[in-house]
Amino acid sequence: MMDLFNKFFPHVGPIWTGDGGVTEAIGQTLYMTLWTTVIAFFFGILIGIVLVLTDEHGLLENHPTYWVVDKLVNIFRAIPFIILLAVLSPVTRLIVGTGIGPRAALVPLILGTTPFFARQVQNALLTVDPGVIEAAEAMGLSPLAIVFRVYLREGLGELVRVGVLTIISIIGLTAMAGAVGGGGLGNLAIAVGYQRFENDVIWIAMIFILILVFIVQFVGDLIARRLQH
Amino acid sequence: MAEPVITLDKVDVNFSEKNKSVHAVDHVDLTVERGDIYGIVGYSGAGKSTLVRTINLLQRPTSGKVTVLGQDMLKLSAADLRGERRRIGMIFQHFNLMNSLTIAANVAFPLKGTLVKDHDQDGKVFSRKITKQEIAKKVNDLLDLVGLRERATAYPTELSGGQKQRVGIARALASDPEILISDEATSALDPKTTSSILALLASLNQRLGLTIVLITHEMEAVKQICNKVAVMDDGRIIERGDLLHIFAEPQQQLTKDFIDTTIQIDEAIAAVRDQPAVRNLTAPDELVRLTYVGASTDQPLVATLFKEYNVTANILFGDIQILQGTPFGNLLVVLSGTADALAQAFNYLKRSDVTVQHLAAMAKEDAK
Repeated sequence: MMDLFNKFFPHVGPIWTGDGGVTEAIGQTLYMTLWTTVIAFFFGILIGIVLVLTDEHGLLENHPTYWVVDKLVNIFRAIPFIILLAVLSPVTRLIVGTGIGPRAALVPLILGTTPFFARQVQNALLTVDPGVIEAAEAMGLSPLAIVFRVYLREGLGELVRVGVLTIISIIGLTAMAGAVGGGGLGNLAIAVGYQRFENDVIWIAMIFILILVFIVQFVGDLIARRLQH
Repeated sequence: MAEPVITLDKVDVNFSEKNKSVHAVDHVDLTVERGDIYGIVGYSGAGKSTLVRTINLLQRPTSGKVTVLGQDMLKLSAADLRGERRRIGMIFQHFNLMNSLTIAANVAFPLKGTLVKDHDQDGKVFSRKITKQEIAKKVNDLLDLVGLRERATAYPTELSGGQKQRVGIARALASDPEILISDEATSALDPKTTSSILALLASLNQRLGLTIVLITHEMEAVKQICNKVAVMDDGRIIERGDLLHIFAEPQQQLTKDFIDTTIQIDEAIAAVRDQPAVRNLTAPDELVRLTYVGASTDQPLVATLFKEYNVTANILFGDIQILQGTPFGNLLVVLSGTADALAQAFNYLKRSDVTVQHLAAMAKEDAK
């Protein structure tokens, strides 16, 4: 078994552990994905809710607020991630004290993901039947109660769906963050595999990323199915 | 005079979007008294839904005054308005249940976190949060009331339309409202289910003293349970009054049209016109429609016509319904006799509050 592995992936064995190795890269990718997910989800849901509430016919309709938030989301979504990485590097240094490594990559990852997820959350919450919102209003629920008890509850299935979509997109972005020294599987594939012409390293990086994506998709589908009635 | 629970005073709603403006509700005055089942009937787009939404301020009027249960609604703070809304239940055409919650949880929905009055050992009254047990008991009682106790753990998608509306009603009643607004609540249901939902509303009105505002485009629903009715067209109430009065003496063409839908008189007239008795009609014999309400039906109409005036009445179509315990009759008859006798007979009918509509004349008009 090991022989077979070494035959097809001759360059992977020696760098399996250790500095810049495969296991470290997996750990870095997981680290970046996890923290970006946690923080971007928090702010994304918050901004998504603000967009839904302040939009026309929203519960707290407010044109100036909607206009500003909507435009900010659009602008940040419009910047290609690879450019965002470069543009943000001074900010990153200011916040985390360094421009390289997974921790530094978190800043552009979060800033790149949050607007994307916020828009997804907005669309997910807009699928909630306006009639149900109206019924809740008629029952005398406050806007905040409607957010928690109706929007987030009725929109949960859709939120899980866009959540999965976003995590998969984050995994993709972490690979790109590797290009500027973020570490992780993307970095491994490019800095080791591609630059040294060790194609087997590229392959192993890709396989692990695929496994990660499949796990996220699988768990997401499982949750989504449990939420359906 | 009964206590007014809803008073709309020159309520006006203008929607202005982009550069066109829609006058959805045009300076409407409306008074609903305690215990009323007030029907508001009109075609879609007449402004009924917008009008009733000004009652609980789901729609804020552009101008006018809304008084509900003694409160000037437009002067309330946001929090007070929410409290007031709990006294006004609402049910909807598409039920608007939460699909992610069970039936029991849907009914419990408005109860969660509400305050109830309690008293301590010394009898001092205080407010506290409602307990889980209290919610569970109330939900059970409400599901019993609407006959859905055994479906408590089902989800809305597993229920029929009629059952969903029963859940909607149970949910609307959870906060013990004094007023129930029904927004086309039976419009998505089949006639039999509609009937049973209306019967449920009528019994709630009787048992709980619930005041109901029922908006619909079906006069049939109004006829079945309302004691008062208003007809809306183009943002205005064009006619209103007691149900019987409106049925007996409709003034507006639209009102007449709505009433006719409940007896399918148009189809009856068309069918009757095809009969030999009508096709071979010779003057002065005439096909007429007789409409009467209440007292006039106590007299033996047809017998009197023959005995006193020598006019025979050949009944080709008859529809007698009971509105609020009072008969409301529609007959299509061919009256035969001498011209003189007929004239006297028409006079007698008029005196007896029977409305006579000469249909032969209409036929000629149609032919033109």
